[in-house]
Amino acid sequence: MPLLFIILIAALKQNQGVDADQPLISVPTLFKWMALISIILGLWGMLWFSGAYQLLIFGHPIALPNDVSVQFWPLAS
Amino acid sequence: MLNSPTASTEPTPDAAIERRQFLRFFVLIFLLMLPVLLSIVFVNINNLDVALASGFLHDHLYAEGIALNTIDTVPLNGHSYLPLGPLTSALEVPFVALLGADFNPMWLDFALTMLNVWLFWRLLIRLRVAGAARTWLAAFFFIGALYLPQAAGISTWNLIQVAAITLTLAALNLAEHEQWLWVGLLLGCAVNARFSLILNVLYFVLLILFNQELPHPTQVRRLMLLGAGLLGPMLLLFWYNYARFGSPLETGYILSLPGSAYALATRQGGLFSLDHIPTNFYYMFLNGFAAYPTESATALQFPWIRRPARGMSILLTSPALLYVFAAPLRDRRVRAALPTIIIGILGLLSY
Repeated sequence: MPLLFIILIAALKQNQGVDADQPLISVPTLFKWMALISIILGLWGMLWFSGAYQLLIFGHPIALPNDVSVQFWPLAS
Repeated sequence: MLNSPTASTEPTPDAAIERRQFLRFFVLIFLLMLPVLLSIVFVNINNLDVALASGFLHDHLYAEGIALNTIDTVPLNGHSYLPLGPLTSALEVPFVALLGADFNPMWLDFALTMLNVWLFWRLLIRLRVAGAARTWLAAFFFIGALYLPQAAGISTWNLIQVAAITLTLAALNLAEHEQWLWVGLLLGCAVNARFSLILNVLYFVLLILFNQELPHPTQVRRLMLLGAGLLGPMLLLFWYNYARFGSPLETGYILSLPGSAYALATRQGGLFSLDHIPTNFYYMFLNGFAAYPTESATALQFPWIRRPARGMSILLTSPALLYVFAAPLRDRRVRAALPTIIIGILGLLSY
């Protein structure tokens, strides 16, 4: 993923008419909207799918791997 | 000289703004990672990594106290071995030595994630990304491109991904400083976390070769430094594999107990096969939301949609990545990263 971002930065510089050795200060509006969608989906994915958030919301991890065992979750009881 | 900004010990207004910008982002990620800290308090993790760290402390290469029928482990000669790189367990050794086998490795997950924020920020600075663009890209990387959903998972596997990102980001930073011996060392350590990261070496080799300003002997010298750094960790990994399974290239993955009938079925055609491509292509690029509670429910319930078990299309979760298609091929970083990513995607699709 970090390599994808190396390419992404070069693409954004090209889009903004900035040379590789010049600073990229702003990003296109379309990129902001698309990044915002990704950020919202990322937060949703985190709430729905990450073990730590599942504990917080549901009181138990609903999709944890086998090497995790829940002992006690007082907030859910 | 007195008027030079570098001569003053006071930060310039721009530097102070940038520092505040970084601190705000750091605190945001810290808050989003807080549930991981809470999970440390309330969840007892019988972590495979910690069991292996205990093994290391007692001069074994197997995970101590892990039942022979545990999925994702390799039962051999009465012991459970892990089909994973040894790096995260090696990192946990001092903590397990001090705190015992109850050490919760999610502390490490949390600390490495905060380190990753700093490393990615430093990389953005090195790549001359400034102002609002820096915050947008950092937010997209950590929240929008599924870093945090992975880091907030609580398992061995998630910790390995986080450690792999730490080492890769550190290597990318040091490559910008031309510290090739260290880059090689970090890449070798990353391979010890996740075997597939050997592919990343290609990016750094091409980065050196595509630098037309360098005379040939300098390129050769840098490649040799990269190789020298890589050598130590790679030899250690080969020895680790050989000592466990009798072959330096046997990671144990194909020998491990599958976690489900689905995992077993996918292995029938081999770890890598052309047969896997249509399935992986579908899940990587085409799969969308799933209905909640089920596809066959006559009336959906709140929140009506759910993330499907095998993930959603990257085009749906991270559409901003489509911008990569506009990248200029004259940029040597792009020319180095592109073949590395294409080979990586082909590997993922056939896996």
